[in-house]
Amino acid sequence: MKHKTPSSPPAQRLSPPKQPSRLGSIWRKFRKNKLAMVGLTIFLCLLLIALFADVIADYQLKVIFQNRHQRRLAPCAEFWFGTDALGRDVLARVVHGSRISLSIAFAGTLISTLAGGTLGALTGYFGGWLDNLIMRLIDIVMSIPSMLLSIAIVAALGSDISNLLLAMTIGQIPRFTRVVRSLVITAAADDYVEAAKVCGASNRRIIVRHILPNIIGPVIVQSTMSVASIILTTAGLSFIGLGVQPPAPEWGTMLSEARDFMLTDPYLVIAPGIAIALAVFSLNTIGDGLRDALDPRSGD
Amino acid sequence: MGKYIAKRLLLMIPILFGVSLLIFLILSFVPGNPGEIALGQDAPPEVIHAYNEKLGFYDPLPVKYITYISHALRGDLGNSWRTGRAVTQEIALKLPVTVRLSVLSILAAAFLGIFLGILSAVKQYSCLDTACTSGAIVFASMPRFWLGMILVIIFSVYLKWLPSHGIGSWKNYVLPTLTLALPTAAQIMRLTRSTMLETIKQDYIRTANAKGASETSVVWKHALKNALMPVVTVIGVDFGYLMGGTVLVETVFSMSGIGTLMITSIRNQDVPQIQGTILFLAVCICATMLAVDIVYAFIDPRVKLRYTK
Repeated sequence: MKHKTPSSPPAQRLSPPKQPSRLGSIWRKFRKNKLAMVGLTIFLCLLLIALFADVIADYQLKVIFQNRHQRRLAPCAEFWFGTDALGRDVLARVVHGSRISLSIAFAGTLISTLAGGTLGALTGYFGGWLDNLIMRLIDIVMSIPSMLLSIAIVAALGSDISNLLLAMTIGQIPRFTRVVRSLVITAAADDYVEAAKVCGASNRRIIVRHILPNIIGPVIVQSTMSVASIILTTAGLSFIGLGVQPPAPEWGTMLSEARDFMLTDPYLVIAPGIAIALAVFSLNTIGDGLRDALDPRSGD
Repeated sequence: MGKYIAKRLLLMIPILFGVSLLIFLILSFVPGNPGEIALGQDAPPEVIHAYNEKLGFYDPLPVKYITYISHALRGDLGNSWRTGRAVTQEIALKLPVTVRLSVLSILAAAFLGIFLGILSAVKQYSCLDTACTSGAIVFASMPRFWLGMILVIIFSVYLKWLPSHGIGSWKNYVLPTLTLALPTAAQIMRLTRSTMLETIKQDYIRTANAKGASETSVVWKHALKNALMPVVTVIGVDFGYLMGGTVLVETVFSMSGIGTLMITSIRNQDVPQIQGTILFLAVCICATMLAVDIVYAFIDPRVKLRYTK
């Protein structure tokens, strides 16, 4: 579609000359929400920690290397959260764990958004037997709790990273499909879609160029929630020994190792749990804040 | 009304077939075979082969599924590869713990969530409201298994009030119930609060206030009934999540329920047991959802109206 649509220049002239940008207005509303800003700050800190994990603590020396002379030391000036049963710095492991959790969660969310979004757009826009078939399949997948489904998948296929991703996305795709489908159904009934159809736009062009920009907001909200939910499920699977395998410093794996010493060395439990809770908290508050900011009914 | 229930029941049949097929397909990828697990890996290969042959392990997948499902319909989920006992028997043995745990938690969560939700909606922007709302956000972000460990550290290690594991007495159920209930209560509280706030703004509440009804009567009689409609559905969905969530919480507290049974069978690649347990839980959850929908139809005159016309 390289040629210019002849109708576009007059349409631009018709629109009011200076309109405040939509993104700007969303950001202004979002900024007023204190809780969401706290969440955003925490999340950016987590991202920075994940990016600069190697600068903060050396992976081989502090995260993997087992030092038998410093086993299970209580928190002190050198080891802020103590050392674990194999003499490794808990804080350094939590710092590096952010990489694992965030990368699985981001990759899982990206795949789920794309796959679920495509399914949702197709079923919502075209309807008919395809819609019926896919929605019945989704009903089936959704009537198994996502934790059980993930457990079944890693139990059957083994728990390497690609299977973990598969287990996570299968739980998430149905949610995206449902959200996108209902958004597309509403959007497809709008006048601008009708107008685009009259202009002879192809279905593909209508979905991608006309409907997508109008529904992207709620999809982003769903994505933030999905990142949080995948972080929780990954940690849960690792906790029961089916997720990320030791010696990788995944937060749930660390908690599973800490469980054996819970009664004697409770400090081992603190850091990884706080890391999970902070990540989930920040993403959920960002999601809530975005949802409020995107809601046109809420005051500016 | 009967028509509505019949329709919902009929809709459940294909879903349950789908669920069983999906789980069957996923678990067909589990490595290992019954002979190796029952007789040990050192048994001669011919013996293992004969054992597997007898169980129909080498049959093609469709045949295996049809055999499985036709037995399952008669309440026979096969025998555990590990113990040789019936899968249903193993489940029945472990069921009481999980049922007690999930019923207690959903009751605690619903009671706590609805009560605090109403209080914080009625007293919006008060100290209590702020405390409840922020508490809810904190509890909703915690992974359940971590919350459980923290509760153990506080109440068993430091205060020594409650036992940290086992299923001996009622005291053993306090911490696991709290662990499961608190995050769910947080969710129910937030929902109750927001629906209650919406309801209070309605005209009929203003009418009730105007005609001189007392504050208590307006809140608990006029508003509550309508505000609780969406909450009922969420409680049903949460009950399903709780049954999935017990897997982790049972591990934290070393309770021998359905969750621990499933993890043990996964470690031993005991396919019939994993399959039977997941299928059983899925059926329970579908049945709960159905029950909730029917209850909802009874209390919501709009649904009833659609089917009595």
